Amino acid sequence: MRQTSSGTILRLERSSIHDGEGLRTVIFLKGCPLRCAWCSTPEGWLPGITETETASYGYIMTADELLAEIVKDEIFFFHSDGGITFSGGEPLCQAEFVTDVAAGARKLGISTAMESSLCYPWQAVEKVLPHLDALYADLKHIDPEQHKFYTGQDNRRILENIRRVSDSDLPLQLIIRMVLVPGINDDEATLRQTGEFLQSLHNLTRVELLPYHRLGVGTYAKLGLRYRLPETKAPSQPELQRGKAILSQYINNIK
Amino acid sequence: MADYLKRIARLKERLLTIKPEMDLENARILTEGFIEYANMPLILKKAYAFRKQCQEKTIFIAEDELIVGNSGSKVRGGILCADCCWSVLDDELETISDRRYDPFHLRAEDKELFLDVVKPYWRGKSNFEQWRRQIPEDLRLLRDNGVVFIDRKGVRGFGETTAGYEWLLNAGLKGIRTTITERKSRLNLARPGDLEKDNFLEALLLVCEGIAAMAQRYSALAADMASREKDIVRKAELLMIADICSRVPENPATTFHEALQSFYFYHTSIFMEQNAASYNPGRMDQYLLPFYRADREAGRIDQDQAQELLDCLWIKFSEPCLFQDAVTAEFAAGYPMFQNVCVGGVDETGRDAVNELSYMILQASMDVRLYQPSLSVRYNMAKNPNQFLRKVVELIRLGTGFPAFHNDEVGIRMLLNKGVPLREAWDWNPCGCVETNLEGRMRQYTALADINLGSLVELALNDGVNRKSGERISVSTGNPDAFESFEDFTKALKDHIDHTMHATVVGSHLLDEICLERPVPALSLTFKECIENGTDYSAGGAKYNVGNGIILIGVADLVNSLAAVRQLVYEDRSVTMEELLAALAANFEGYEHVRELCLAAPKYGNDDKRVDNLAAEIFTYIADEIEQYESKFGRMTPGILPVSGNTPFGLEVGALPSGRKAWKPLADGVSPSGGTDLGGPTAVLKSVSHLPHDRFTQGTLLNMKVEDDLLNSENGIRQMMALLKSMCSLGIFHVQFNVIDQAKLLAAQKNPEQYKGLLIRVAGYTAYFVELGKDVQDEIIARTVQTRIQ
Repeated sequence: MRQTSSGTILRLERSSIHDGEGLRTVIFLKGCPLRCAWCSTPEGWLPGITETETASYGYIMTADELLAEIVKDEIFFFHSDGGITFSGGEPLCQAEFVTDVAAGARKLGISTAMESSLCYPWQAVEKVLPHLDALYADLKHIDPEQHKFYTGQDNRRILENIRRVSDSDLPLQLIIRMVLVPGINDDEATLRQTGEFLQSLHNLTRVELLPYHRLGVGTYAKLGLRYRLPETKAPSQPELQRGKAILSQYINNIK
Repeated sequence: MADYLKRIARLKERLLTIKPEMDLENARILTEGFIEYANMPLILKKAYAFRKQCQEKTIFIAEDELIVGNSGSKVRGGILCADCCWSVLDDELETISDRRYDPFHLRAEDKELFLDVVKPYWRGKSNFEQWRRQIPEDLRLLRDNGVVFIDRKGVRGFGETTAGYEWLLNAGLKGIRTTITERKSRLNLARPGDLEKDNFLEALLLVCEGIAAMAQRYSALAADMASREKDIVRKAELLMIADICSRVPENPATTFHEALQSFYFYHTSIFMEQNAASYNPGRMDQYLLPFYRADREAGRIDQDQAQELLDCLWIKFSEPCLFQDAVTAEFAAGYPMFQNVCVGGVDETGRDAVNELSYMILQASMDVRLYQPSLSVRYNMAKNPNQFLRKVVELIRLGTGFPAFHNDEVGIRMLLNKGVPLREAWDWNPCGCVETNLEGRMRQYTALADINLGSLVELALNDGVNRKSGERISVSTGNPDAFESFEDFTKALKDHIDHTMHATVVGSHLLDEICLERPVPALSLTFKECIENGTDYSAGGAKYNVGNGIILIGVADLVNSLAAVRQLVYEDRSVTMEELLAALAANFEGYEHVRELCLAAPKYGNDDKRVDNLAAEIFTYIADEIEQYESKFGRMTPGILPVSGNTPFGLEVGALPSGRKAWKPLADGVSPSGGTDLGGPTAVLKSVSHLPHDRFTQGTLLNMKVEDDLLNSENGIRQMMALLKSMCSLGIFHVQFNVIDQAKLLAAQKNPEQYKGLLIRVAGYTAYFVELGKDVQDEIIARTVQTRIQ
């Protein structure tokens, strides 16, 4: 029997309804190349297990062990058209592991999705892609400088990877997700520029504009980290609607 | 707001201002009847007294009412059934007005009536006194130490049944009377046994006479009120009521309004005959449908008018208040009438039975939002449409706790297991809480006794001695230090299960005997086989007689304790039995490290086979154990439903290996212990699916918390539907939902221990609510919509 790969999991969340179709098991994976200022899961940044004085984040599982956990909810996936979603952290940091698990899940008739920043070399993306039914690509900021300022990396590779996915022939849904952060990426110029980029993509299934939230703020203190946006507030419904209205001038399917 | 809802709002507002009162008129007339007919056989005395109640009771019609009737003389009265349990009021004469659970205001004149008329006649004659005198010693010990609760049937009448409403609506008293007289004509009084039958059938005729007379009195009252009514609209309504009451229940109902009125007269009659919970209206969407359709086809009524009538009946369902003693009230608090109405399921051919009335009945509960009726859904995944399931989810999201959602296929199998052939099992209906029933055909006590599973664990760890009292109350199973294996421990546990079941079954047989002296002719009236057999319901006249229900409480406490003992003492050997026993004896004080290990052991509710398989095995054992016993009415039946018994039972149990501290409530139904399920709803359902639900033929009850978030969007509604279908696929019998609303989040802030598993979810992020900072918690609370039930 083939030795299966193993990965570092931050946590598993069952019966999620927000990260893909139906009821899903979301696999939060450790490690991320970005340091987004509004990140709600900073405990997922470092690869491997993160130990603090009060807590330990992450544990190691083999692909088979993870599949055994996933399959526990197969009846729920069946009735809801759900499945699994890799999230993080950045799943591509553990591309081999994700590939093994996604391929294994599909053999069990379980649908697969991945949420990723795509801030990773194309070889990693390419490896995982054939085993996915949906890709949720996170677009943080359309402007390269701003992107670098708020996430620590510029966005050239991300935009290029998004384009390559949208040009590929694979039968997969491509959903672009963008967190609307007031004062950072919600001005009209940024949104219009984003809209133009999105408009230029092929095979774009949908765009989801998500409201910034502060639920993860407490974790920064636990990790001894400073939260960079102490004053930023979650966008109001009208603000969110305004963002959607601008983007919808460029693309049809926006949620 | 639809126009018809204005009337409903007024009726509801008035009802909510009325406080429950003791109602002794029923007892007075019963007593006078028994004196007047002293020389008659018991069954006839009962019937004459019932007729007298119908003829003399106080009647009233309230403003705005379209459906009339009341079993008592007060709108929200607790009726004392003197023949059953007069002494309860005697014991609580000074406290009943202010007792903690379910107080009833007792007026001075009623107290006097009780002391002068009721008590002197019934002293020494009631069922409850017989029971208290005759209870076997071993069972008394178990009862007094909180291992078994079995007094309920001494203080309540039969209940837990579904009368043959359909027959009454279609045949009228007139038709039933014809059947009775025909049966009477076949008797030969010279033949042994026929005299008894003749007395019984004569009693039924007296009951018919009484109910008919009561309806006529309402008719006359309505006519009289109409003659004095100034408002022409109300005058017309009163005249209509007068007209309807002059025709039903004597005649077959011919309209939807008549059918509802006929139903309610009979429904109040059986409650008047004997105070009890769980007189279940059953499948109203089936037996009312022909009347509704006929009205619609003839253009006699539109949908709003029909909805208004249903809603008016729904208000009436919340009037009666169950009278019981203070202890029984703790086990089932909230004046719980448990009038279980059911919609959905399959018809007599096995096809989808959902129809337009199913939706209107769900709508009535959405409109009225009172504590009664108990609304149940029989959801047949193969046959019922998604549209129906969606309407059910819409009701769930209101956060009223209704409906109780039942997996139809499992319910059908429960009936089969009770000995009912499939053709009739298709017609089953939920009963009371989550028990199973069959209208007009089945006799049993569905919830005769409750067994405290927490106590049984304690007894196994304490050589049969109750921790609280220090008394040996069960068999001696030896010092657990000497148990060499986990199997030795479970053997001791099973010895206590066996001992307790045996004692309980003997008590059940005794109650069956005592209750033979509690005939119920008004209830028997609509059980066709009671007439054919010439035998009262109480004596087994019904078509299907089933052994009484034995109810288990503390599932999660038992299973988690087993898992902890196995892991800590026999697998990891991280704690010795001696140390565990010392920790339990000290309620973990000074043994915090042991408690931490106990709490960290596998917990039921997390889809963890190490504990879930134990649940499957021990509950199979318990079902086998109960089902090996027969009563004169049939095989004994197990069920798992707590009502509110998990709280008083908890007060009797010391610390447990599950990590639960002494005297705290036990877990309810088949739900995980509060705060121990950390994997969300799918993990809970997977754990719960390990119990052999079908075998617990008196039902299994699952309470689940559901995040508001899952219900407040289109996507959420769809996923909730998928969750319910999955629950059916898993073979779970029942679920009802507690929506996590603002109030519950506030509670979670105060008692984080109980809400450890509560998740807050947004896209790409989840966290346990209790682990968030107070400011973030407050933000979430602020955005959660307030929902509540009155």
